Amino acid sequence: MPTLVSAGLILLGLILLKEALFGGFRGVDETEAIENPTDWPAFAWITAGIIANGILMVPVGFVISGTLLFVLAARGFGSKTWVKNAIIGLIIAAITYAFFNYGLGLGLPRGILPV
Amino acid sequence: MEVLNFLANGFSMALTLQNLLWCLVGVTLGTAVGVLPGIGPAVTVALLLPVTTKIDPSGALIMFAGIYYGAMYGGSTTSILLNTPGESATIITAMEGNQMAKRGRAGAALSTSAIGSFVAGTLTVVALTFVSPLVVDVALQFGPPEFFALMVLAFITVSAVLGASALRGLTALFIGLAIGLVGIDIQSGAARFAFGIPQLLDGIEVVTVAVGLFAVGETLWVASKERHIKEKILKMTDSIWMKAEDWKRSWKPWLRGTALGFPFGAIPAGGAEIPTFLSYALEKKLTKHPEEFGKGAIEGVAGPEAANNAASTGTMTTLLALGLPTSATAAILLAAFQQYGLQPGPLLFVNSADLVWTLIASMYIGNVMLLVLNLPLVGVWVKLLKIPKHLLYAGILIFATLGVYGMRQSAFDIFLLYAVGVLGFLMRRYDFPTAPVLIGMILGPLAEAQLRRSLSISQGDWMIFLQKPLSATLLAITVLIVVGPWLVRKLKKTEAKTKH
Repeated sequence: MPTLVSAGLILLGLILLKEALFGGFRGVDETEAIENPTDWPAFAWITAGIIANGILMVPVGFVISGTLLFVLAARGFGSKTWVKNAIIGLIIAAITYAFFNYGLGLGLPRGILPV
Repeated sequence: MEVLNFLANGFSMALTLQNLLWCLVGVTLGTAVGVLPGIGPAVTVALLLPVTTKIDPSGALIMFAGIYYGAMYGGSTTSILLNTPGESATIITAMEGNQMAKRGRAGAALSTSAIGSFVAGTLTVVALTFVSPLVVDVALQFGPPEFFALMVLAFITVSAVLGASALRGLTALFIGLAIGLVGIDIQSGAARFAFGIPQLLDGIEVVTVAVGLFAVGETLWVASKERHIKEKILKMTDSIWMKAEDWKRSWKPWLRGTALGFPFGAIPAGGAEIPTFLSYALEKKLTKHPEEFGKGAIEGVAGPEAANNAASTGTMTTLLALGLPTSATAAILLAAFQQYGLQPGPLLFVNSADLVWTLIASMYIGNVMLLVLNLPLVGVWVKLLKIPKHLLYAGILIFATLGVYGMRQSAFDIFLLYAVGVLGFLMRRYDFPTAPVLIGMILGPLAEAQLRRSLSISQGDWMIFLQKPLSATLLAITVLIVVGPWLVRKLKKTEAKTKH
């Protein structure tokens, strides 16, 4: 089975490559990238949020890393009200933590919280 | 009739306080995520998977089903009031519905869509009640080769029939199959596609892929591409109660939409978009008020709305009776069943009849609840739409990382989530369909099991798929579907050439 799937992927990849080199993917809007340029800084903020969350989740705990994720992601959407976002994020993360950890026993990392 | 006995039994269990509560939670959550952009039933069920492992299966499944068809109700609210569809199945509703809202007829639009959804939902659950035992009877005669052929048919139709490019659909499917293969093979103990990374030895979780493709991918996309779109929420200025004229113009489209939606939802050809388009085209042809189309014709809302709800029940029918997911959400529901060690399909009706019929009975109840939630209480959902984007998506991400981490207590999964999210972003940019990835990932291992069983029955002879009449037929249909359109085009070209 893995051989079948790998063979399929390689074959499809080659055909896609051929399509891409000779006139682009069929039916995909090529001008879209020019008319609607990607906001890479926004992309970067969200990336930063998720990656930071991944790195800090266990050492620092869900509540704090979740708040950080919230703030960075909100910044990715252009919101610069840092403090307000941090407070909202903290409340959401804390309630979620309490509900899922103690209520449903999901096992989220406590990190450095004294709770 | 035996079926009615089963159903009555199902009702007696679905009407317990506990199951009623699960149903209510499910349909409420479903409406909420249907209304909200950026999150849908697929992601929600996926996120709830880690949390519901310890819960009674019938309650959890009732809730998941409620989320699924509830989202079809909620999505229309967003389409009508905001012109951005809450769900892809409600795109068509946005066409006429939003126009109606702009002309002060939002109440009538919301009303016809909610009642149409209720009519469609209830009628199709009746259909489900009577059709599934018939399908089960046939499917009980299926052996591994037939199931394998059926799954191959499903794979091909889901990826190669719909959408702009069969090539991209198939690629998505194979990516899904590859993801499904990651981990240790149960039968031989060999590690596959793990690249020496220990966390991959346990495979990749459904939650990670579903949430990554849909929630994270969507967030990345909206943040970098659609942030500057300012949507105006239209106000509902007229009454939610329709006038007699509206009822008269709506009831036939409701029935026609239902008839279109159910079969299309049941076949693996990509979910609710086709029947809603077809319903719209049909209503446009049949209407006595063609000049209104494009400006807010109520038939253009009634028909498609019924169609999309009917399609979701159709999908449930195929999922329950054959174990075949015909949409991304259905694939995740399949994963939910598997979590409890249950395998949807004919055997489920035989071995866990109670569970199945409780679930089916709960669907009747859920539709009633949804009618109440979506008609008089529509104002509540409109408030949800006012949540600013940055808070909404940031919140979605918190839940995303919560769910993904919670599945295996592994931070690695969060990085995996991000990688899948980027994949989702690219797939969106280059128009690769995402449903085949999930179907490939969840159905793939099942298909492989059937393949192996078939080969062990035939002792390694691949001809078994052609020797068994049913499986040969299914495979022939598959080939026909793939080759057919291409052949037709070729024939047309030679015809055009000979004319010159």
